[in-house]
Amino acid sequence: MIPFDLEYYLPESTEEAAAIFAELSEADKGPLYYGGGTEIVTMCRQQTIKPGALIDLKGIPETTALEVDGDKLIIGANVTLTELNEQDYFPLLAKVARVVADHTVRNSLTLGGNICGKLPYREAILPLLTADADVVLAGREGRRTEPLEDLFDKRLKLEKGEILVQLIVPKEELKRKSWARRREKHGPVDYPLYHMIGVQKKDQLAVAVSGLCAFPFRSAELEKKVNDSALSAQDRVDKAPDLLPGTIRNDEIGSDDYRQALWQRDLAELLKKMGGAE
Amino acid sequence: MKAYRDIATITLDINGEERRVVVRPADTLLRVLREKVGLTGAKPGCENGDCGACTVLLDGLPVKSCLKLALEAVGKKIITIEGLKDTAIQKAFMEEGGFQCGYCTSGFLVNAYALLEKHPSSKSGADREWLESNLCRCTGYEGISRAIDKARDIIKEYK
Ligand SMILES: Cc1cc2nc3c(=O)[nH]c(=O)nc-3n(C[C@H](O)[C@H](O)[C@H](O)COP(=O)(O)OP(=O)(O)OC[C@H]3O[C@@H](n4cnc5c(N)ncnc54)[C@H](O)[C@@H]3O)c2cc1C
Ligand code: FES
Ligand code: FES
Repeated sequence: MIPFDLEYYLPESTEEAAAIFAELSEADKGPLYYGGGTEIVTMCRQQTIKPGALIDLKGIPETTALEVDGDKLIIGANVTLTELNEQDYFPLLAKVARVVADHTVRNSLTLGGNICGKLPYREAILPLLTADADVVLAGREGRRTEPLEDLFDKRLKLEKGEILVQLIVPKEELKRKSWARRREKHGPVDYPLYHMIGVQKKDQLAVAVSGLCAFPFRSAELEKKVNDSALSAQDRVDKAPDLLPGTIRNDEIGSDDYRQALWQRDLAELLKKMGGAE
Repeated sequence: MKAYRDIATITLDINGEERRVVVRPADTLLRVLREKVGLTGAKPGCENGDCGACTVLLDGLPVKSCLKLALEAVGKKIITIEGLKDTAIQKAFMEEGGFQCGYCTSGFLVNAYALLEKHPSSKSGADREWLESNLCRCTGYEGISRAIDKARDIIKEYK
């Protein structure tokens, strides 16, 4: 039960949504955009957040699109992880979506909510980082399309009141050779110790990781080292922890030492499996 | 744009019946079903998305009703355990001992019913993936697993 009152709005366009967001902000209602609600409802119940109003984006048709348009795949921010798991356009995204939370939560949980959420994991962003996806954003000033890489630094850097509308993935990125490993302490429905994916892009390996640090990342420095053919595979793996963009998490799921040791072992396997070891 | 600024009267389609209810916009679907409509089959276990005792179908998809606002269900078809009558999975749970205390049972039944609708004959790895959404502290899951297999047999027999 949510032990305080709030307002609920269901706009039909991004313009309506951005306008009501601005109006509610001016009225000090602390509005939040609402996707699947799995994080918002949980946090409201725990009273770790207390929004005065929720703006449900699921009534906006373009946020539920999932289609190939010419040379790109368009994914609406309100597409659920179950829908992503069941699509064939982008197999790595289907595979990653399949292991986030559990099946009935995935029937509600949206890609946009996962990317914009406050929790450290946000696993569904990993294949979008390695695929050099673009994000379509809409706000009071209109809309813009930007490379995800430019806007994602620990979190998606949205302007106040901006909506994540869609993600756009170039078609040539959809079926690349890939490898993924999710490590949990107990079982598959747990939050991960970490989740790492590797994608073969021409002669380079792209790597993205969630759960290892306090935020998901794809790091240019780490990738440079991982792809440094002047070094042996073992040297690359040994040096990799120094190139992480944050400290390794140390929590009740696993210690930093445990996470690091396991992650380096998996990185070695990734290099071996994806042919990056020579 | 629909706007709910305060307590509102809404119509929900529950088990094929239209039910008018007064809700706060902050009310979860689970609380409304139990406290406003009197359908207490969906259970509050964790109210945190973990246990699945609150599972209902929304337009045929099993969801955790503790994580849904009642307002999100307007215009959708809600099926609760009270809406499942004499189904193969209910019969199979009885025959195979799919429950002990029964607290988790309505959630399991609703989820398993949807699983069998989507995967009536083949197992295709879906059983485990779907039913990992529900927790049972009593049975050790053996009886539940047997009940799913049995329900498939019953469905096959009737076809
Ligand atoms: C039982 C359970 C298990 C979980 N397990 C995992 C797991 O294994 N891995 C993992 O990564 N996560 C996990 N989560 C966390 C879940 O992924 C997050 O709660 C997720 O961010 C929520 O997505 P949602 O669509 O429900 O978002 P919401 O709760 O609706 O929103 C989350 C945040 O994103 C913002 N937002 C949503 N959509 C948009 C948009 N289009 N534009 C701008 N802002 C937006 C909201 O304002 C809010 O701040 C789990 C959650 C639960 C309840
Ligand atoms: S009560 Fe909803 S998942 Fe536990
Ligand atoms: S029968 Fe008691 S919790 Fe499942």
